[in-house]
Amino acid sequence: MARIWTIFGLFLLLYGAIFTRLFYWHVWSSARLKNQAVSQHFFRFALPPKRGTIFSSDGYPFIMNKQAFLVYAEPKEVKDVDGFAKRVSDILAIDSASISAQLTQPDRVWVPIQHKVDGEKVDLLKTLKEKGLGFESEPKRYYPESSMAAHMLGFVGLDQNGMDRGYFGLEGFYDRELKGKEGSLQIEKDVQGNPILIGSTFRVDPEDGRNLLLWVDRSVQAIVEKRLKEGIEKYGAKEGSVVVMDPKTGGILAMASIPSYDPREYSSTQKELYINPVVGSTYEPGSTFKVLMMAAGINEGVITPTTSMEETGPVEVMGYTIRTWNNIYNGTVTMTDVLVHSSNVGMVFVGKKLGKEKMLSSLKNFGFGTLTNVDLEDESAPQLRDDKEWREIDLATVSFGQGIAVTPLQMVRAVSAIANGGNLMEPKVVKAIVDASGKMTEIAPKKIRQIFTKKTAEEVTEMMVASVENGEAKFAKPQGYRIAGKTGTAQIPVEGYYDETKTIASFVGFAPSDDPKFAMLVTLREPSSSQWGSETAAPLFFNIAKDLFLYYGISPR
Amino acid sequence: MKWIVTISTILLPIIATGLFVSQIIFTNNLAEDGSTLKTITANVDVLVFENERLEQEIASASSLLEIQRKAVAGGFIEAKQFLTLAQGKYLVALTQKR
Repeated sequence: MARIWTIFGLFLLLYGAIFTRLFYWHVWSSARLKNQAVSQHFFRFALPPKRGTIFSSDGYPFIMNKQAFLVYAEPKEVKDVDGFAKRVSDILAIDSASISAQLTQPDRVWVPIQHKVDGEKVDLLKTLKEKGLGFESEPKRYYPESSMAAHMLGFVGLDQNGMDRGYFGLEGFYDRELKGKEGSLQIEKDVQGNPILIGSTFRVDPEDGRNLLLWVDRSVQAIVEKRLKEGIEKYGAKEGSVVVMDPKTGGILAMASIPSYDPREYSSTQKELYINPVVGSTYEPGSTFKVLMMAAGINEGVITPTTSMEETGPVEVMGYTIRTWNNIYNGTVTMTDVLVHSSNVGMVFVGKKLGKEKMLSSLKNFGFGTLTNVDLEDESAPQLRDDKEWREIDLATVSFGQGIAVTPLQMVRAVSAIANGGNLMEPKVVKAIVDASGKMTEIAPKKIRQIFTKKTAEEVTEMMVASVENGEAKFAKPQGYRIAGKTGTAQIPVEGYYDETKTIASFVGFAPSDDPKFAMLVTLREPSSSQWGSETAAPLFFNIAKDLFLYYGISPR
Repeated sequence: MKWIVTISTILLPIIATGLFVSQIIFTNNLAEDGSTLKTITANVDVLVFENERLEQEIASASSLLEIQRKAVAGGFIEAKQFLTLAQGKYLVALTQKR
């Protein structure tokens, strides 16, 4: 009987062992074994989507894709590690020690050496005929116009998983639309690795990224960048920016800033340069702001262009003395004269007429203190101080554009409202999105709200025209054109005080004033030839305007 | 009725055998076509690559930078003076009857 039980027990153990082993294969290791089987029987490819192209308004690619390669090594195939690293690094212009270090790490079967290597370099590497050196194609961004519009376009870098990702500008804002969706292909293969046609195939097509069609006109952008560069050299400015907008739609026609960077070499650029100053940096607008405060006064009905005041000398506000920029006082002046002479004293008069409540509501109504919602990643909006914190002196200085920070885009958008009859538009860089099948989705111009009446806009336009015709910058104005504009010279606050030698010179305006084709803001930081906007930013504005008149075929009257 | 049975017992195995042999031949041919497919796929990749390269060359050749470079090399200079026809003041009588 004991022998029977012993044999029975042995059988039980045997069955138990078999059951355990089967459990291990079928349940415990199921996923791993399934993957091994699949990899033996199937090819599996990731089908990368093509990143979308960014086109200028004339259909020319600002950014497109170019075939490049990932250069990798298989350490087990490499015999002479140092020699291999030296020869490869000489061509790729990278440190050979880092390649050697990676190749000698234990258990590494695959080492990526460099991403996005150009075809020419890969051809050179192929001539080495190095065993263990491999290449995998991968797309790279290509910029036919080199670094044109770099701030606005942004760049494509790698994320923490080594995948392409757009940063800053349009590449950052529209990353999801541009990058598309990866696909995959699984094909049954034979023992020699060739696909079996009657075998099972599973394919998920990649969705290519969408293309962007911009409002930005390539020729206008080129004009603006060329003239801005010349202007900065001529006037000895440290920095400068120009933004050109279609006032009727809010479409951005051009946007340029100097210093800029080359998106192809973004990794070797100072990170501070990535941010687009037109949307991400703030400045005090100075006298250019007077046109908006004047418009607010007229719109609120507290002044008219012919309202007169006595400009007899400086005004005192809370113990501070406010003077005109040249310390000249013209006696009885109208509001148009105030704008023509850019009188701070006159603007304090307008500010007092408006009062705190109407002035603050006007500032908010013009879109200051909030984002413009432009379709660029790096936008920021300086906050307006709390209503309770506004003192009488703050209201006085804001009336002539000091003590308030705005972005250039906020400024040109608000002035565009004067140009288009009073409508505050949402600025847009992208006009339409086109998917891989060619279906175009247009982004319609968006009116946020009406901030002035049409009558106010017309009256302020005439005042701005008078300011150009009779103001300090009239010497530079192109003859025969009606241009509405205003100069600005804002002192830069340094450690709580304004430095009189350091200014931001600017000019904002639109033309032709009767049927504006463009609104434009020019800013120059710390020009050294002259601190005044009328002698630096204004001539630069008019130079660009002359080119734009020719480009758009607008003849003088 | 008998002739039907006779024909069936002779013809059906022949047809079945024929179909079986055909399937083997056909399957074999398709399996061999795998390498052809691989070659075609490689050729498609080469053509796609070539198309992208050509698109890139077109874009480069028509860039403003390149056009400007060629214009300067060709002796063109930037115009400093322009003659424009003022709005509403034609220099010639465009509507004059002949």
